[in-house]
Amino acid sequence: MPKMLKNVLKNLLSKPATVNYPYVKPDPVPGTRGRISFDMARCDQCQDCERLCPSGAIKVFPEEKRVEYDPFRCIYCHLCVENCMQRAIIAEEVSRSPEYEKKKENFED
Amino acid sequence: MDQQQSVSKSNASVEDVRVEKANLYLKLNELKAENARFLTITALDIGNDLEIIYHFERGSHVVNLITRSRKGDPIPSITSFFGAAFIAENEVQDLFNAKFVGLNVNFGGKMLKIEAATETTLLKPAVGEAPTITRFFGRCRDECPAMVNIPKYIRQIAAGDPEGAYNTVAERAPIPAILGRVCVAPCQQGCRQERRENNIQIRLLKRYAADSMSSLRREIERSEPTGKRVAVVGGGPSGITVAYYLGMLGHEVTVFEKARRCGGAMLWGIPKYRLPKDVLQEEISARFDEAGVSLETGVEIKNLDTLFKDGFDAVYVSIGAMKPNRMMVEGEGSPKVLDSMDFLTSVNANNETPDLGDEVIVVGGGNAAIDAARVSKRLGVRDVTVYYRRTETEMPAVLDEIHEAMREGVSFDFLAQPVKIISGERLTLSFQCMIPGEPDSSGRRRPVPLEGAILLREADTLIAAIGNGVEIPPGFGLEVDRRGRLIVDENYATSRKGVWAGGDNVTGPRFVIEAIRDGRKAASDMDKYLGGRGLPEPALDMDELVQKPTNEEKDLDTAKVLVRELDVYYRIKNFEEVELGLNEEEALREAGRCWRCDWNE
Amino acid sequence: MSKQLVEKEFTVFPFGPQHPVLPEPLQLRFTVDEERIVDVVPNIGYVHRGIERACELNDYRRNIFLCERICGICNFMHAMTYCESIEMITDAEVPERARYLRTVWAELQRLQSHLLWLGLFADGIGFESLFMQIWRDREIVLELNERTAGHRIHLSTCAIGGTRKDMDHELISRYSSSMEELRNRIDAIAPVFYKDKAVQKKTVGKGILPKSRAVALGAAGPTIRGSGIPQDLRTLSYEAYRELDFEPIVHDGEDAYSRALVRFDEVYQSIDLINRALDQMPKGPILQKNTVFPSGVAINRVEQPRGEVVYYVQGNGTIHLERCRVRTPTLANIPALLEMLMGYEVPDIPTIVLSIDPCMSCTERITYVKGGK
Repeated sequence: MPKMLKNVLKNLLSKPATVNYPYVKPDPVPGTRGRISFDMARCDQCQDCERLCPSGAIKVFPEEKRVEYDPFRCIYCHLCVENCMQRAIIAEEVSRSPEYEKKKENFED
Repeated sequence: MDQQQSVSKSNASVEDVRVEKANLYLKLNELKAENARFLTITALDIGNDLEIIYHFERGSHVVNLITRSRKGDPIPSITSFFGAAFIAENEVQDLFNAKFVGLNVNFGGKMLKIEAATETTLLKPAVGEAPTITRFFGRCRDECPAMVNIPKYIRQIAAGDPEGAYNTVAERAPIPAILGRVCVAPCQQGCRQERRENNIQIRLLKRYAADSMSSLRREIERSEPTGKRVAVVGGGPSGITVAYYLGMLGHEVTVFEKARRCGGAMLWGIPKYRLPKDVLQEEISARFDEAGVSLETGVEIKNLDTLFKDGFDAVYVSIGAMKPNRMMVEGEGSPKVLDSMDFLTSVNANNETPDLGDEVIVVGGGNAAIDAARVSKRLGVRDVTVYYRRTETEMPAVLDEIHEAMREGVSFDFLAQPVKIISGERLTLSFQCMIPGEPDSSGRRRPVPLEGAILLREADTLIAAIGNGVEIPPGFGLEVDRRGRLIVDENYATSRKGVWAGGDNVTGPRFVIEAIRDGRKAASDMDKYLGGRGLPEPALDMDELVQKPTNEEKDLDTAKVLVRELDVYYRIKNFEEVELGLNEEEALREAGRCWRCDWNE
Repeated sequence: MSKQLVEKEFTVFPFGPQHPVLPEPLQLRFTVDEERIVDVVPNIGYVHRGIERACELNDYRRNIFLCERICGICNFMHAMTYCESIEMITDAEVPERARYLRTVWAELQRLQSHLLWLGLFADGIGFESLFMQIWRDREIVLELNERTAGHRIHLSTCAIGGTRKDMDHELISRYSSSMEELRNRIDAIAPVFYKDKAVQKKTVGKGILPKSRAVALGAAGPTIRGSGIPQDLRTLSYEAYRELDFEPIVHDGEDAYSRALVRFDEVYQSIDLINRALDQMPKGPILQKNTVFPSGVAINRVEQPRGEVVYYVQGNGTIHLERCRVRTPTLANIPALLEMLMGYEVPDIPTIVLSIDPCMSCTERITYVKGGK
């Protein structure tokens, strides 16, 4: 019984273990694999990211200099970020926010 | 498709036991007596049969019982021995459309498939959406006219195998040591690192591979002799290429060269400070030795009929573009007006040192003009000026050459064209100033004379370097176009049966690597004509697994290795080779920078 | 399992696929005689995703990510087993440091999985505040995951021939301090599991799996270790377990309580293993890139939190695999479960079903059972 009391008091008086999301956003942990975007000024349409992507979320159209990225197919493994030799894929530490419909993103020069 | 099962590997020891279906129960009795534990069942589709592997654990080892059963035949169940196997057997039943007999719990083929479900089966062929796997040649290789396998030979150099790299280049272009010094290297413009002006110096790597060979003469085997004889008229780069490839395929090739030595435009056109003539000789001799090619110098062929009468089965014509264009200027017949082709031939091929006086003017904007200017400097001329009728950015010469010429003290003047030459003790030249007008068919702006603006200059010698035309002897009996160049189809076959042509006499004056491309393509076609199978086309190698670097590896952002050169004030006094090439450490560093764009995903 | 039901009228009711205590969908069709269970028929695999076929169509290097997503809770070990199989086929040498790193992360996954299960078990008994507390303590592990690899659950750091990411000094010291904190918190909870009478009353004597039947039924993992049989694949000394002294934890109770104790003790054991591995980790490279296509057969077995997983991988020398067969531990535990349930009362069902730690996403088949009465 005394042990339980100690635990109960500790839980009552300490602050909650959860964060009041979405009003308060937690600080991102450094190194989090968050959402990605493409810097088309640097991209040279080599299609390395398209071939590497495990889920096929990236489609490159070399003639149109356009990249189509599906954020809902993406598994955020960041293989593309690590392997783009022109450093054209920018990774952030924020997760993708929820959406109402599944749309693909287009990046153009 | 018969699967050859290799020995299984595991982190514990594995025993593969093959049994017939009929003897399965005997083995199972043994295993049960040894208190083995049932693991799972794997089924494989091998054509007409199903291979079923029962995995057991005995102690800490794995025992595989492997049986085969024809598709459609019933398979005895093992649930009488190992009751827990019913789940795995039902799975195999559904996924492979098999039939098990004697199951203690039989879901009747409906364990994995609901009523309305589509076929979920693991039978071959695999049906489903497979991701596309594409491989490219690599942008450097796409830019090369001869499709040399550049990524592969860069990898070989990085792995410490320059001889392999040399052989890789020689498969598509037989003169790597020469190309490593003179090639204009369109591949370097295609390199993806060019964007940051940090492209891989592919030409220098090729030179390193060639210089690392102890002897350019390789131990290499020719094919069996075919008994066919081929004549090559003209021993320039394109002719050498045809001779080498057809010789290696087993044909008996004879090269007829008008001059005293082979080499063509590489001999007379390219100066010694870019291509030492002993390198040229050594490599050509090495190729001819390997391919069993016989060479007849000092012979000028005027009529192809004599060749066919002498027993040659096919002929390749590559006499180059040796007819200098005229400036069409009054007074150009003066002895102090030299043509660049004659001038360069006398210096480069015949080792003469003509006295040009103190001031030389070169007219023209191509590589020949730059070569003439730099050679003049080395002959002791104090002032050399190059006059070009368009602007600097429109000069067709290679940018590196123009910059080197400027460093060596050559002056340039643009938008001026000679209109009159007056001979005397010295030459007096009038130049008409021009302004750029509307673009012409090549896309460059046509120079338009600026009324009343005339430039007067004096010089001791004028060298005209405005390009060469093609002159085909009428005795060849071949069709030419209005510019005098030979008409060929896409395989470089001429209008006459049994005669092919390539190089400058088809395309006009172009680069060495383009002549090599012509030669190889023509050689392939000629071999098919002579009963062979031709030469292999460049193909994507799907079997090689290339390791691609990630962008976090630190060596990849380093700047390109700067090649050592002779000092400017020293080099203009002689004809020594200016570029000193890369040593082993520099070559490894440069090759290590490659991004491996022909990556295998 | 299916008996002839001739004498009385029995009630048949389905348990699942949606049920508050089940982490993943599983259907058990119970035939009960008033409150006593008489017969049970399983219906497994509501999460069929065709992963075995997808493995054959994919490039064998993308398959790491596919195999990782067979299960969310034991994901690193699926990826590790797959990578190990390919390494076995191609005779690759994995660097020392990579083996230690893989061991640390595997034990971290085991820790996280057991803590999840302990919370669910507490919830299944009805002890909801304990469930909340344990999951709050589990957050320490998830935050470590995020710092190491970027994701809380799917580490994605395993690669063929080693690992993709490394740990620097700062991260290792953070690991040590987190393990200390976790140990303190688990120490605060331990008395509940070892001594509390209410917990014992609900779990002791329930779901007996006799020692003699355990091996014949093909059970695996803590299910079989709770019945007194010391079967633990980590004694096979794969990865770095050879250098870390390891003894399997065994309890003799044969019931749900002893299985819970096995898992609880394994939490402590994992913390010890992680600390020891971090101390002993050598310096060196972390990746030896794979240079040939796999051609051959490998059978690999690894101890996941729920038992042993068997991977049969066959490569045919091209970029696609010929066959990749996965047998997950829950599939092996289901026949044991069916036997364990017989003769108990309906309120005991959640306790017994949870005691084998059902992870249905691992089974990935579709089944729809018709009949079987």
